[in-house]
Amino acid sequence: MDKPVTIAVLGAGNGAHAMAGHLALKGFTVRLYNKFADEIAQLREQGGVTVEGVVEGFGRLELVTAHIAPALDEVQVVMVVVPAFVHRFIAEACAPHLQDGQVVVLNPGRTGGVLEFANVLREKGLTAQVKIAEAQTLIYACRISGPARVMIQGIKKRVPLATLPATDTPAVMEVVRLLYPEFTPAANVLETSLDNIGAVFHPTTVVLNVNRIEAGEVFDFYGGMTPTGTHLLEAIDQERLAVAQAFGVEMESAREWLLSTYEGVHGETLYECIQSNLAYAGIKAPTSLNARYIFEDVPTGLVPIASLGSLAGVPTPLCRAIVNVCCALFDRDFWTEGRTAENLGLSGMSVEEILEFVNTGDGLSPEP
Amino acid sequence: MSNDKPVFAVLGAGHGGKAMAADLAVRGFHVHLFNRTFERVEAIKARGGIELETEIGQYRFGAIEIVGSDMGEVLTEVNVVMVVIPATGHRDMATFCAPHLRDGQVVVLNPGRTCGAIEFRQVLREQGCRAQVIVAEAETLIYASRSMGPAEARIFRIKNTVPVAALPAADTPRVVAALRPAFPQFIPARNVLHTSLNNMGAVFHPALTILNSARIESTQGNFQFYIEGVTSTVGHILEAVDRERVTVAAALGIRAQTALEWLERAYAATGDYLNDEPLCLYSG
Repeated sequence: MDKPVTIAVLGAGNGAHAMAGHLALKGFTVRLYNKFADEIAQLREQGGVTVEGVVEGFGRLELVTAHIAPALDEVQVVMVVVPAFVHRFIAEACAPHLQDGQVVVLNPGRTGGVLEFANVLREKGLTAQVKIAEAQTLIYACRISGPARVMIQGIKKRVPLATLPATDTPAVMEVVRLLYPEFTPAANVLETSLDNIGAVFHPTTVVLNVNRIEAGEVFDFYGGMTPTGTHLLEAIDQERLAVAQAFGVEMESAREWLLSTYEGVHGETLYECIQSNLAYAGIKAPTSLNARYIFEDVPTGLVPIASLGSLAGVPTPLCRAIVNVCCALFDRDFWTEGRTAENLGLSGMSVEEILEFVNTGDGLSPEP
Repeated sequence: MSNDKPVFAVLGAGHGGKAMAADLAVRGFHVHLFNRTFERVEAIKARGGIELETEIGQYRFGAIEIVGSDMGEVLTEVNVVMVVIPATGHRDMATFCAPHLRDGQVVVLNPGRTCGAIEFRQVLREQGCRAQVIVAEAETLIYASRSMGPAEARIFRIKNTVPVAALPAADTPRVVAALRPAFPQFIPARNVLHTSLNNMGAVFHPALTILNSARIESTQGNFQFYIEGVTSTVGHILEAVDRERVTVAAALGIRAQTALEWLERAYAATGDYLNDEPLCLYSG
């Protein structure tokens, strides 16, 4: 690209602070949008974000706003950095304002992020030619460390990314690699979507520890993964892998992922691998049940995994059991709130039709 | 055997079976005791009975006439067969009994859990048992008791009322009559669906164990299961499970007690939710 890239970061949590600050420090023109003005008051006042940790400096932001239209106007890349259960809202807010040629990246998409985002845009009658991509994970390990201040503890070396359809991934890579050379192309959005380890680890571990968390006990979350509990995690992981396999997607098991992602992890079982991971040591369990471990990883993790499984004829009794238990525990209908084949616009499609759709963009039923 | 003193066989020599055999013997009933693994009753056979610490702290010796793992011998001349084993053993126990049951015998599962009597009858049928027997199930075990040694048992408490139902329900009065000389606490329930679906353990135990599993495993169970194990969200899911049970019962024409009603009645507990006061009565 000849002219400098302009980026809109949507969101104002840990990840959005880190991304906006770091990209500004890299020399890009960055705007930041957040729905709630009070959450960005400090950023507006300071005119940017102070970054500390593995990157240091003050990232000046061109615009900090609670209005979506000026945030999106004439930017090349839109980085969505919000919990996945907010993707639907962001898509609805963006739909009237997206412009030809823009690239939207969900950081990350969790399971079915791009499928949902694209389906909402379709429902809203979007005519602009945009490309929607999802990252498999958030590139940063980071935490807001003060007003308009963020601590970046780490930047991942490799973050798979896929576009819908996959034939657009190379074009998107050309743009997003200017921002992050760490992005690597994934086969398609089913690969980035089903590579959701949080969906395997988080809700089940919360369920098996629900009463300790609620009683306010302070304990290491990964220490809460006991031998028997981890046995259940492995069985749930097998269901996820079976769904991925039905869609022809190659995927690491949770255990293989731990071995390939973290230094010093070893063990024959998932339990041994988790307990030998020094990166997990000291991570405390959530202090409240009102946590993303449930409200993100159930509706945008286990629910779409189970729903895609149904489409492909792969039984996922354990994913479903955990979802059902969470529905009863929290008095919510995650089967309705969450991402399903129906609200992703995939209902009635065969595995082959879905693959055709995610790979080439063809074959979607004409109207949602 | 005399008419007013029925002869009992107790099948199973665990916490409940040893207490029941000893209690009956201490009160002057003829008792036979069966256990599948003979080693578990060897000491009782050697001593000729069981040393019982009663509810009021007295030590009494209950003489057991026949002790062993020979079902044919144990069931000889018996009027009432009390099955006192975990419900997972009912199928095997029915298989062992089938060739040896005699016309007129009454079999009572203490307790049947859900569908104990239906399963027991079905196995007797499969095994070709032709004896005219009545199969019944109690809603709960009448004792709170512990095995205190190879030939010792202790009874902490005897429940005041225990619903019992026969399959079919028309036979229930005969079961109650057969039990009455020894156990006036048994009262007739409407039918076995009633005793089966009032299974509070099925509501409380698996869900509580799952929701506390990490804690159980990491503390080796060193916490109060009902007091510390039931937080408000956990109580919430117990109520959801209980609703399913009560709904199944309603579909079968049974107005089952809710767990909350049951706690109120059994322990005079109060509270609007399962995590409120009621479960606090499980303290200790």
